[in-house]
Amino acid sequence: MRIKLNNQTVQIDPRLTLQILLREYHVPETGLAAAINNRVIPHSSWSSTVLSEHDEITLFQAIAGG
Amino acid sequence: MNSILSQQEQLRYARQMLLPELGKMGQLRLKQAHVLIIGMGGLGCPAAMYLAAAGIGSLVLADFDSIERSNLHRQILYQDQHIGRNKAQQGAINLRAMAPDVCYQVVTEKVTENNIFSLFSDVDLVLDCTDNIVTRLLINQACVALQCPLISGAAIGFEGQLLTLPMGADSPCYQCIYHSTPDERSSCLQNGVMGPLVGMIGSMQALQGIKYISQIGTLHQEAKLHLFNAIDMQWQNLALVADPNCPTCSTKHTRSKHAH
Repeated sequence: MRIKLNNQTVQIDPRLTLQILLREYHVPETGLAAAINNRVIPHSSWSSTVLSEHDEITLFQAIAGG
Repeated sequence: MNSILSQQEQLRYARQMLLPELGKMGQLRLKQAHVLIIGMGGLGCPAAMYLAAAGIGSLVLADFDSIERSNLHRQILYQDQHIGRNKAQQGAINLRAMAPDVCYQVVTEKVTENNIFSLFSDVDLVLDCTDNIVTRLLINQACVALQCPLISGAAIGFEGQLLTLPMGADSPCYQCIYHSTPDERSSCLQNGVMGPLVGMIGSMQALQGIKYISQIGTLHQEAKLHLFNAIDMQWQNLALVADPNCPTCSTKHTRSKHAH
């Protein structure tokens, strides 16, 4: 199925969780936050959050500068 | 005297009091408010300037750092002649010249776990304008413990983040979003930052603060995160929920559930 990952369309297996997606794409988890369809998913829910067709996933990092 | 506006104040704030959303009631709320700004750098300068200009009653400015030449492209309260001076002290001097009605308090010690709670006395709202993750986590912990609303800004390179956390019983905290501490990818020292970008984020912290205090919009009920990319000028607005396993605030949520 197709999802969008930071605005890029990608093809993934159905019933993939957010956690497994991050692992497959080798995304380092330190300081990472993730949102699906503009809702931030708390870290403790990553492994139970199953992705759906056309989900738009935003991955972003904590930044500290000021 | 905090429950009335002098004639001078009515003139000074006339153009914002014209806004029906603010009005005289909102202006009085601003006058009665105490805001703590931690970090008087690229975010803190414009945030403090706009809050002072808007007629906030009392501003506490905290920064242990001194002004360096390399700060001046973005820390717009300061001039060449101020290099070497403490940012909070110099900031208060310059702000007082611009907006003398505001009461300014200055904290020149580094904010640590030993002194952070002492900064929060009588504070209605905190602006996190710091430049490092350790202090950000500390401010978040104190805001959670005291249920003090927090408006956190951050900017690096061409990226900005604006986070508004009402810190009510069920609202998320900083660590609900960022579960782990990033490496110091993120300070301006190592990475560089665009001056007007950090100015935008600091200005928006002031805007959110003014709205929060004068009760415009829904900031009291809703935590919000806004991400900004300054290269393609795109904003992304994200909804937030509390993490039931958050290392900082999950015990608060458990407590509040038992209490109801």
